[in-house]
Amino acid sequence: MSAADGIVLRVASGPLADAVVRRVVGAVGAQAELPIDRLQDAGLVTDAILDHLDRDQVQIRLGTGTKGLELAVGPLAGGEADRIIDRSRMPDLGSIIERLADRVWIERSDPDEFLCVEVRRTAQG
Amino acid sequence: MTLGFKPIPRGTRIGQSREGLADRAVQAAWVRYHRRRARETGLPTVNRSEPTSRASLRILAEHRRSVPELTRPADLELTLPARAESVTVARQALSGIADAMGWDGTFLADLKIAVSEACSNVVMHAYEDGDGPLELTGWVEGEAVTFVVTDRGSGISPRLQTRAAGLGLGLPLMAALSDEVEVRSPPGGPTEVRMTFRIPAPEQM
Repeated sequence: MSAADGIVLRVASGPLADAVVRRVVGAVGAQAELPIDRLQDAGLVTDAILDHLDRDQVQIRLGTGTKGLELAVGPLAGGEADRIIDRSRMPDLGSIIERLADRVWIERSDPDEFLCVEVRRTAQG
Repeated sequence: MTLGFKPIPRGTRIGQSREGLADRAVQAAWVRYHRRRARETGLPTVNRSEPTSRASLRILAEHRRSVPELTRPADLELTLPARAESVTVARQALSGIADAMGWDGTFLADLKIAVSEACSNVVMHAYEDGDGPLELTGWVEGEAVTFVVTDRGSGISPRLQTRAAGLGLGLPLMAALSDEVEVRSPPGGPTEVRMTFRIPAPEQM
């Protein structure tokens, strides 16, 4: 993620987070020049993460990388990122997050971790 | 909203003259704003004949002394690079809050204009020699919502009137659209603009 972009959003969980995060992801995604279908994918990935995030406050770092939109959710407790991915699994589809994002990875910074996803302008595979 | 500008006649060139309509509107808004603050705080009232820029700086100096530290935990904290495109992101965050809270109409428009003005000031004036952060914080408390726009620049200082300095409408506009504006800008910075808006009943939005 480009350090110069440096957008950090902290918002109280619940309906406020759902509405604000979706709007901000949309705005930053547009700046990353994502096409409409990829903006929708970014919104769905974000919703899936928020649905399974068990916290009072949501913190997301967003940036425009060379290939598209990058976002990192956290700091999370150890193992929480894997749990979020697992909980987003649907029968026959697998994890919604892994299905729609082009890259999903976990950044570990002892004792915390961050769930990171990249949504590119053109979907891979 | 208790303050507002009168409609500007079509064809009027805003900022045409230091003695022109824009300057009078700025001064009138400052006077209205400061009279209301004077009633609440006991601070002296602006002399209507005082030049706008001097009155603005004097009011700013008084606010530097009068504003308490921000201590309330926020419902929203957004940190952005101080660039023009970030104002759009801030406006979208406001729209998101409005979606969640059921705000729309004039109230939402006032929020967006006032907060955009504060953010634009950071983008244009806070960092003359490079990038820096623009922070937007907001919370709802009772029947009011407060937004605080902060930069890490070197504070507000008197400057020469230049084309790049703009019309000087930003602070008066924020004062006109919000129910309360506080500016905190100690020498050396940072600068904090805090705006509080009374949330109207749904049928009045």
